Amino acid sequence: MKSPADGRPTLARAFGNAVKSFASMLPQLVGVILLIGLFQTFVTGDMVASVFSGSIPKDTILGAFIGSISAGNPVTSYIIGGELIDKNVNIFAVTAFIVAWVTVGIIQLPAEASILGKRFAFFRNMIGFLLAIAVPLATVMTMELLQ
Amino acid sequence: MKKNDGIQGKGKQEKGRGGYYFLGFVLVAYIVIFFFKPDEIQQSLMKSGLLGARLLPAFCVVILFMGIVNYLVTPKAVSKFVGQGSGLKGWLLALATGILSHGPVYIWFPFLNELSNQGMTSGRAAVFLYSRAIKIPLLPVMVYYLGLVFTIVLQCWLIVASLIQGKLIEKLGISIPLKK
Repeated sequence: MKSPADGRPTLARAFGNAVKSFASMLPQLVGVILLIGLFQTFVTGDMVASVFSGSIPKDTILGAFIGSISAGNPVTSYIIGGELIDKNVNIFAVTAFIVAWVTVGIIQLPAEASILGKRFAFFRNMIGFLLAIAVPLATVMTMELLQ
Repeated sequence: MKKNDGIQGKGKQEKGRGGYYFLGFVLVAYIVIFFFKPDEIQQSLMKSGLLGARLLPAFCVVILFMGIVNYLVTPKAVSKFVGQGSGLKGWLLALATGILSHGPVYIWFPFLNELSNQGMTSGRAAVFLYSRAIKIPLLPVMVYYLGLVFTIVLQCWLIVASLIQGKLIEKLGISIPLKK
């Protein structure tokens, strides 16, 4: 196949390189998938609910922390969040848990660090953790203003 | 004109072994736990296998995107749309594509690595990753548990937070390393 005149790669080479690049990242991705399998087997909603104490600041940080070390489909976090609300865990903690679940990823951190760089992965997750505490506060305050 | 190999063609592929160490560590964990809880390990393997099978189409889509980026998108175009000079449009584009993207976050790392090598800024990459927190198809489930108004307010704050994160990443001077 001819290479385009503007210096772009040929179609075959472009896709060949994409496959090669993706294949080089497969060990990290397989590792993450295996870790998620372990997590989903060993951590249940009841286990998560049992660690909350009732203190808003403590539970919010704890919610963000548990969300950060959790993994899986976000819908699972909504369902666990619903269970937590039924068990009278405060809305700050539940929101922090749901937000951190999708914005912070400790389980995939090694893969992120390896593919996007250690500094980027560390700071992105660190800022994400702090925002997982700030976003519930901002949301609940906004709700109070609206009511 | 010198033949361009695409993004990867700029040099030798990175030969990092970190991924293999990580996979090795997880496999060792499986083996150790197997001696104490063999049934749970079997369950974990089943869950991982199912997850892997569900992700296969998503992996294909990501490879397709990477191939398209390699073939069609030039560093000049990436710089224009999500690079340093892309301004507000660049932030909004990263935000919108993040919201519309599907699948687990980690399948998008190789794609972002590709775009970063073409000129996407680290802040825009961070915005893309954070805005994935907004899952439009799953919003009805969130509404069911948290209520409509709470869900809308939360989504608005997630948009603000994703832009804050992107700006902070850039202000801190954190970049995504280029492939050697």
